[in-house]
Amino acid sequence: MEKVTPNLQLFLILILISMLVFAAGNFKLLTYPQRGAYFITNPISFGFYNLKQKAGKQLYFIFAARFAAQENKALQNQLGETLSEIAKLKRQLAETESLLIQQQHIDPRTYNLKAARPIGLDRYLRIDKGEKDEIKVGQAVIFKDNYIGKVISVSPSSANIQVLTDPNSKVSAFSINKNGRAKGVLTGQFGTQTLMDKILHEEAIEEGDLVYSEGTEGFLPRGLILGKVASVLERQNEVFKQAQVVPVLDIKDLDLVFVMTE
Amino acid sequence: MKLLVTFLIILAFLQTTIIPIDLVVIILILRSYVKNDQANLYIAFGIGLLVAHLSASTLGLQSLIYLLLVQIARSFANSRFSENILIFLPVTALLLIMNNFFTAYASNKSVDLWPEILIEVLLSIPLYYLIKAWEERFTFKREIKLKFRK
Repeated sequence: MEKVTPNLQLFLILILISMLVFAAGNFKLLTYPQRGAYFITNPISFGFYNLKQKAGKQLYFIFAARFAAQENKALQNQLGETLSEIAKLKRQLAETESLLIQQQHIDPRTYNLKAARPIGLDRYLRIDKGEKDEIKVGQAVIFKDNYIGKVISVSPSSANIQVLTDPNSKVSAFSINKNGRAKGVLTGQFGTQTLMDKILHEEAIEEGDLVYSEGTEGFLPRGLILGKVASVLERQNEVFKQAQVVPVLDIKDLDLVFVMTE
Repeated sequence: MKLLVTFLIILAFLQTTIIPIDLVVIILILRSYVKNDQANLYIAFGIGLLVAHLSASTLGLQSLIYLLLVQIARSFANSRFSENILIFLPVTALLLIMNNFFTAYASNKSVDLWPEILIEVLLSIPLYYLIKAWEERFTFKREIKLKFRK
């Protein structure tokens, strides 16, 4: 068993020496040796201190870079949200403008119009309103005073619109200018044009004339703009002449269309 | 021994320039607790002088404190309490608190234990096992053989 206080003698001697050193230090007797020792220890201490400063700077750079990356990511997310918000506001503004313009053109008190947003365009124009919104097959779709097409199929929450350029589309139409008017049938062509057929030779039609709906189909009011004459095809040996008609509006640019529910 | 002294000198420079934790005293207490060696007293005296010199305090004072702590640590290690393997932790904590009190009293500063003392005590756990493993690296340990009765 070891003693509880081992090396007691050595301990006491070292305590005594420490006290002597302490006393000598208090009486400033060790000032010069201590100053001499500082010549050795101070450069080492400064070396450690500089090491700390450099390491601190490097660590700070790492933390700063990490913080900047996080901040950058947060700002990018914020920017994305802001852009999406701007896009949404722009769309709402365009829709509001469309509603205002529409009210100036066709009286909503005469025709019950239901605003719908185009959601796709291939052969048919697809809108975001369907059976739930009382959309029915055969109803006319307009924008301002322009005829866009006719509802040909309806699902609960969307509907397909047969546009004027569809090959199955046929609308009785007339054009008017200072020399008179011309009547015909406007049929869709493959592409972006329509053809006004069955125009008598004596009827006046020129390039640039506006073509309007006749209103004989029942679902369509008279006087809606169907397009503009691009060229007149006239052959003397044929009974009727024809006119190529181009739409006044580009359907792709529309933010809102209106279905005439009644 | 040379390695230990070199290591303690580096720690003395570190604790007076970079790390505000008394690393030297932790090592001195733990080594004294682990190994009964009169070199502990010499090292405590010498490193005490160095730490006092580097921290520009009166020479001899730090040596007095270190010697006292080392001797108390050894006394605890020799007592029957040391049979419990975890007793080193409260002993180290107690001695570190004493060191803080002595140092604060000697330099006329208020005692501020938190959070340094917690860091020092937590740091002493891995250091204790490291020192124990290092000091007992050449100690022969008898193999345990199991006997089966027929």
